[in-house]
Amino acid sequence: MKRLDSALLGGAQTTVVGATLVGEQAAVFAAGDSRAYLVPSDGRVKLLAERSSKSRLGSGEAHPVVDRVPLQRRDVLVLLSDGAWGPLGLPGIERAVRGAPARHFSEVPQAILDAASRRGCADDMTAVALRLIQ
Amino acid sequence: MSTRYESRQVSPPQPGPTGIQHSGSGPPRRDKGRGFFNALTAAANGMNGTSNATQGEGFKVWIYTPEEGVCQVSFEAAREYRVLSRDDLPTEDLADVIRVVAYPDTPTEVGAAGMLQQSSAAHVVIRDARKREAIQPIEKRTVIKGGRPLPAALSPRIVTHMLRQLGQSEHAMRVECYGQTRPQEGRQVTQNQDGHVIGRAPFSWAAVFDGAGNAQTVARRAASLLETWLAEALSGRSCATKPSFAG
Repeated sequence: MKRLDSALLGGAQTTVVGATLVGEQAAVFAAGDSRAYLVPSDGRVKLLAERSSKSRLGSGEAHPVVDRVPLQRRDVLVLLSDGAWGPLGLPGIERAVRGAPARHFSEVPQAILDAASRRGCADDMTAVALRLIQ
Repeated sequence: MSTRYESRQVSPPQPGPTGIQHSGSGPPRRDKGRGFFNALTAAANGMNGTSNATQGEGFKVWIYTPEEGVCQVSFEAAREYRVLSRDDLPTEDLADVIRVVAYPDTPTEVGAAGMLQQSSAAHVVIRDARKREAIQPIEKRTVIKGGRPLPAALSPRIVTHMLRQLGQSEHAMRVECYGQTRPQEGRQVTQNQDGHVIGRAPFSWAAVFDGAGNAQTVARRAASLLETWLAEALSGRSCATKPSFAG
């Protein structure tokens, strides 16, 4: 992340939120105001890497935060830019993700963006959804 | 994997100073098939009072880790009031192997199929829970009890690190990952300042970027750089040997 911060230094800046999945554990990293949420198969939705700094990559001041979270099957990890999470908030994200099981999992990002759009599409919006299956 | 057998002799575990025999790791593995067969036989006897079935309890398997091998040597040293040092330990007791002792079922009555002193344990392998893989022993030994070889008993040695690989593919998790991006109302798709990337091998990862100001391409550039560096790190072409997100 520091390397990426340096590589983009002097140009336009960007936020980042990402996750790597190794086994049944996810490492979630974030810099800027993009966010990661864990929607467990049972339980309440949780914001991850919430201590991330507001500094974006390319500012030379980004301090990415890494959270390691155990994942269970059917837990859903969603990565959202501020255009997507801003209008929804925690309840809206949870509704959009939990309402998707009737459809294919590939429709979860679309469901989130549709829900956010209904509340006004004032920014670009991106959603990525991951889950373990076996 | 090459399989090499050596013909050597080992003794079964001896009683410790308290007279309690050191009993290997966990409960003995018993022959469930034989137990089921015995139950059927008993049921049949109850019905007609006769049976041609061979009597026996089936084989038993004990597993000894290197630690238990050392414990056994220390028990023997304590029994003889000897001071045990590391030099007293046989090198093979410190090896990274587990020892399996399979006590076979050796029926003493002839059954319909003429099964007298026939072993029910012919070979020992360790398999994963789904029975898709099998680890072969690196050597087989004869078990000596009371100065005589135990009929058809087996004591194969299996390298421990192979156990760690057993069933790894079984535990590999499959990941489902999808993403979508949408430009702000009134903007063209090419003016979208967000970007995302999804990597699928050798492990799954994904990232979302949100460029600022006129940076409609910065998200894509960051995603491209991250993907390239991860690929380099994983292939060993970069100074980093493993991807690190800790900064």
